[in-house]
Amino acid sequence: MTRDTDPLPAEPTGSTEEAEWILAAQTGDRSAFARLIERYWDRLYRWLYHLTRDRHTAEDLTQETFLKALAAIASFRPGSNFRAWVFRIGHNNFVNQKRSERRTKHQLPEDAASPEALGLAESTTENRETLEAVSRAVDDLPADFRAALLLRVNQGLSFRDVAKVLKTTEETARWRVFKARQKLMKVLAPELLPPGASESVSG
Amino acid sequence: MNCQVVQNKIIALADPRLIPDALREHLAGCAACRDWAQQAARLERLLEGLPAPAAPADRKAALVEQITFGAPIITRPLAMPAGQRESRFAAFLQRNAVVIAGLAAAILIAVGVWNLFPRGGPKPDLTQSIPDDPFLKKMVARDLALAKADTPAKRLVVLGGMAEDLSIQARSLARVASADELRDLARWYDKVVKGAIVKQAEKMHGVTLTPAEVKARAEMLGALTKQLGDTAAETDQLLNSVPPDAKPVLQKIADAARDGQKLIGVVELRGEKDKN
Repeated sequence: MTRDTDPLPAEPTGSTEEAEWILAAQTGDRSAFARLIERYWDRLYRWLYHLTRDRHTAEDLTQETFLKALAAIASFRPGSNFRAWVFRIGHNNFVNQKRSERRTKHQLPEDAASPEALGLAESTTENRETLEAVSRAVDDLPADFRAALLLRVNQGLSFRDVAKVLKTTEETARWRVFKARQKLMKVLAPELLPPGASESVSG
Repeated sequence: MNCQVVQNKIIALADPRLIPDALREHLAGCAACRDWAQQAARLERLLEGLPAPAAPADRKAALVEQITFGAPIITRPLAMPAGQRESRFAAFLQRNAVVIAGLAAAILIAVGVWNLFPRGGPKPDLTQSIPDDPFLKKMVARDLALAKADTPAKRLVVLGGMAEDLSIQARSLARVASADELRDLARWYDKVVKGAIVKQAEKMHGVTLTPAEVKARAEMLGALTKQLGDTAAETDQLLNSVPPDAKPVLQKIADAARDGQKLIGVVELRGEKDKN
């Protein structure tokens, strides 16, 4: 693969408003940090859910991540991407948690969440089946690939920020996203064929 | 470009739905690659809508409340007094100063007030300094427990442990640490006891309880009162054997413990009155 043109602009480092919150949080303003939690809680939780495949673990990790972020907020470099920074702390937590899980050999993967719990109740049956298939295929990806793919696609982080979160090089981040897509394209080939009508590719 | 290269390039894009002109030319004349591009676009859209259970709003709300009404204490790393560099405790102090600087910079205690310390100052890399110090680790663990505690009773258990940790740390460092470093510990102790513990004790009276719960509450507050009394007595005993500048700081800890005792007593009395 090549480093082809990257049509998406680099991820913005956050709004002016967010920069103000961060600055205030760094000088001890708790309510400013609370706003940052409000903004990123759901996104972080969703990502961690896909990494852990367990709701409760994802909840615990999300909470722990924000507490650690608060403890370390003074070390955040203004102007850099706050979301990438928080996700990086979240990823550290996830890796540590996996490590300790392995040590204690105590793995309790949660039963697959019901379609209702997943928020699929509203989807049409066809869509629902497809989404379930995609969900399973994503779950089967190696954790590193899954983490990178979802940061890029689900969270909209640039490859550069994906690399930062996962403490790797940009090239590796690109490669993981590429390999993940390649694998999904293969596994999901039947689901991805458009039913009759073809999808338009915008440009 | 052959098809394999084109198809790989498509899924290597940041967003496979945004095809650059160079690839678009090939797609115009190649049905297989067009299909591939369409499937890649569909995959991307499905991934964006990948389902996940709803994020737990109650956990978020609890944390926001905890953080808004609690206070992580973030302060400057403390400088070591120049005169002590040559002392025979220099090496120990040096180690200790690092420990306490990390502590001072990173410690996170929810105590019901915020913005206790001067703003600005150097910003050490806390993610590096936290894991190295056992005391800090303990404090961070206590803080996590505090965030998870969802009733005043559970919070009191954690806060009691936190107060105990802080007073022990202050007493064990009293002979060697600088007065500044001790002062921070004393200040945190004061906030934990007179701010957070007393406040949570008050909250315990705001709810209707069964007789068994009333008994449990009385036992818990009794245990806390005893702990504070012990801290005051043990700290008093140390007063004559510590350096002169550490003495007023320890005195402050003993006073805070006694004040806490009194305030919890007042809370209990008020609770009794409400009942009658």
